[in-house]
Amino acid sequence: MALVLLALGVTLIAFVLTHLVPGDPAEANLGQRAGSDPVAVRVFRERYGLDKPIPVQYVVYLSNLLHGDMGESEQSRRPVRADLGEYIPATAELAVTSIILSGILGVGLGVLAALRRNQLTDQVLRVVSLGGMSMPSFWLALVALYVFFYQLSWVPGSGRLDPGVPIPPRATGMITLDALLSGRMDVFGNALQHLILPACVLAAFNMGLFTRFTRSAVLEVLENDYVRTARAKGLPERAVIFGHVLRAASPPIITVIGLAFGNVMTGTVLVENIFAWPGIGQYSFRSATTLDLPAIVGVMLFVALVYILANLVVDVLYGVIDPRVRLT
Amino acid sequence: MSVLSLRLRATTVAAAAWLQPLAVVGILFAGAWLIVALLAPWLSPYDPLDQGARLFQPPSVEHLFGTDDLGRDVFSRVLWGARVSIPLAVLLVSLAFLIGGTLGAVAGYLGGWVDELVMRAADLVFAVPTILLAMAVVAALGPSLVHAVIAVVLVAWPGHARVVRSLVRTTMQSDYVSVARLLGASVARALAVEVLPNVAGPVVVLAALDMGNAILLLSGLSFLGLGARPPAAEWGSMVSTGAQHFESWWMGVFPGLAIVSVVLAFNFLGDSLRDALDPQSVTGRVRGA
Amino acid sequence: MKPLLEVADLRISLPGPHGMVPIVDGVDFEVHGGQIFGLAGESGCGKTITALSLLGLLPAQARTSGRAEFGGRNLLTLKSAELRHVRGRQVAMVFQDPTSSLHPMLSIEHQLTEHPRVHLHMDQKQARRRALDLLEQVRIPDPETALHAYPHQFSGGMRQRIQIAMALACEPSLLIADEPTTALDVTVQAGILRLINGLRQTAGLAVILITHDLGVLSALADTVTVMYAGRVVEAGSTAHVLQRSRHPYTRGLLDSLPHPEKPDQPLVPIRGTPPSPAERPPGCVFHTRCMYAVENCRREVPPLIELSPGRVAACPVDPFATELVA
Repeated sequence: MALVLLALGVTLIAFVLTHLVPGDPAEANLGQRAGSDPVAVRVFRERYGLDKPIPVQYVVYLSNLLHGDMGESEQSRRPVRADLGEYIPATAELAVTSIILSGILGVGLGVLAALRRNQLTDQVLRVVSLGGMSMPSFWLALVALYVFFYQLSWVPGSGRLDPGVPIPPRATGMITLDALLSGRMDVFGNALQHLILPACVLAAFNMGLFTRFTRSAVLEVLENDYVRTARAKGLPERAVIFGHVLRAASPPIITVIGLAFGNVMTGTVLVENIFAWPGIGQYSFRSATTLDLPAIVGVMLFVALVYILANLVVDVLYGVIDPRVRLT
Repeated sequence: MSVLSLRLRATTVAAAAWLQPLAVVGILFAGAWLIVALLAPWLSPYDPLDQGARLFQPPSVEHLFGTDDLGRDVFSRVLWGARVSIPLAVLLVSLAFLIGGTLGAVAGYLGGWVDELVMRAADLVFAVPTILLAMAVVAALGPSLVHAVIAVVLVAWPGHARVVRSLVRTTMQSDYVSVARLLGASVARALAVEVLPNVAGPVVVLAALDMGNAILLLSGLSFLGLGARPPAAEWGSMVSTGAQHFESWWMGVFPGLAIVSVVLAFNFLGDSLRDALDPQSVTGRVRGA
Repeated sequence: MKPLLEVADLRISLPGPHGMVPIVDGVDFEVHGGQIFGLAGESGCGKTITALSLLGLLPAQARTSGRAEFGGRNLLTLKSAELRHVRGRQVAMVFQDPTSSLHPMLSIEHQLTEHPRVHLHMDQKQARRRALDLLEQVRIPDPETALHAYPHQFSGGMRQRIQIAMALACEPSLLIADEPTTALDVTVQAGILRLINGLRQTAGLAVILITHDLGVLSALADTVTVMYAGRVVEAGSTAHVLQRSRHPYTRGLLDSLPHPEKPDQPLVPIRGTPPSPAERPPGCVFHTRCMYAVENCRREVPPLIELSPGRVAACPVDPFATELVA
């Protein structure tokens, strides 16, 4: 399958990057202290097959990957895999919330813009969506924090919970879910307060994107005869728009939502940093500034994989929505 | 039904003319920034590196955007920032178009395994979120503006490659080229005559939208400390400094506003152009920074 | 007997590059219950637009005037809420291209049951049973399986039958069929026409059959109205209009078609082409292409002359009586 090739390709990029560093890879990956220890260096060399020819090294790299070994982070001195495991749930919580927000709002506004084509509503929405796509997320985050936290105190400043609020027992790692699952509504409320602003900031770009895309997709569908048939059957307009028009427009919209996952990951790098959200965005930021190559590459690999998976899900959904695509 | 559609198309064209204000706004703003980028040395009241003034002054008549943590005039630094971001973005988009466009054209023209190879490579780059790939490249090569540019070009070329490739392929299947083939005339020449006029449109749209993308990405990288280094006046790194001095909001807000206005201008331009060319098309930006 | 539908002075204009263009220019006709009413004319004469106006399916920018009396109300002035109750319930429509008129992603069951559930307040089970009945009525083989299927799995002829089934779902009293067989193979056309004919006999349905194919009309229609460039040029019983045509246009149409019993008779096409709505000639709209035109035809719009009850023609010239005028 094309997606498997894609995954392989990403690992190739990662491999190339780890070997781009000038100088000895062992020393580079082990950092200062361990790099001067001959025993550690030798162990490292053997583990990663550094004395063998490059293609073999790639195979070794690949097999290590499949075992979940992505090297060790220079920063934390832990396997990258462990680092990732700790930070992923926080980002997942943020990412999923933001996608849901931008998805519902974006698609809804896109339908509205299409139905009010070329009228004032459409124009305003056009400016708003282009605006959302023009703002650097790091800047938006700062402005939002300044206004809603610093000046208005509507939301708390940073982190996932106020200090002193107990972390609910870890079921999924997502604090809001875990709080709900353990029935601690007060913790849930607090966690939600912390979640709302970064999720909104993260949703801005995608909301603009979805609005534009949905508008185009819906406009194209509206020209089709089956929309006229639906009206000729005397169906209420709401049923025509949501049951017939949106249904037909959903394949391209879903595709964009799948692609938008990539945008969200990009956004988390910048947004988590500003909101002190302990997710892989912040992890990769730290790794980037300290030039912790194994960590960055590890994040890149993981995120690429998620993206590939998301598109796989989109493909499956395609088949569910559009019966013409299904294999009979 | 042909009569109906004829009538409706007439009204749509009339409406399209009403959409033009956005394009005008876009051109005005983009043009203004281009002028600023050119004339910054003469337009800015202070030297951007001059640390003479009092620290952390809020906006005032003498310092329109206030001063920063080292006593530098923020307004001047924002103006000078244009000299970094805009030329770099232009360079970026040009490089991406050259590399991506050539690869795309070759892939479209030759087809076969060359096409497969180029398209798979493009898919690959698409699979990795832009900033992560850029970060990884810069981390591997070392932080500097040059490396940041390389990283962004690496991330941006697939977009151009895809557009050019699909254009080349559609034109190659067009009747014009088929006839040229039949007559034994040079296909390359037929391509040049047919392709060039058609290519211009979508490519310009993509270039305009990519400019905005490039600026966002570059400033993002600088914000993370992976692009321009202080004390250079670059918008992204200025916002980063501003983040550390939250109460002096003017330090971060104005550079960011500069980014927003430039990107918005190019987005307006690109969007209006795309609508004028083909109202239904959804080519162009899907990935953001 | 009071007609089921009475259309009087129907005028429809659509926006053009230089203002509103009259597409339909004063059309009258009547449709009686249990009858097939044929609306004939070439493409572009306004017959489809006439039909769409009855159900309010024209774009928002269209301007309509006149009367279309149905069930004691003027369809053209109904508000959208009331119009919704007429559509699909009392007046149903079948469109020309069944492939594009059926939703590609919704199952046949869904498309057959959604409007009965709205109009007749059925639940899904009742609606489903009705759908099965309908599929049998239109002769779709294996209706049970067909319900789960999707439009792309059927042939063109079957899709048209499904469309007809869909139109009949709420037992309308009037069915509008816009070129129902034009998009289908010749071999399939006969079946659809037989189906429509059967419906008129068993269900007492009134049908507006819109087509450019005079052969179809001669087989099925009880009355025929011929339209040209937005106006009615001739109307009456099918036998009269098609066998003893009075208007030069109708004559011209018939002469340009092959006669099934006289294969050697030369085909005489009407010279010229139909005018676009914006460029209609003054006076009699057909005069530029008419063999019998006289000077007056250019100056005055000929009124519809009543030749006998229910039989009208918009031409003072009697082709049977006059010699050819140069």
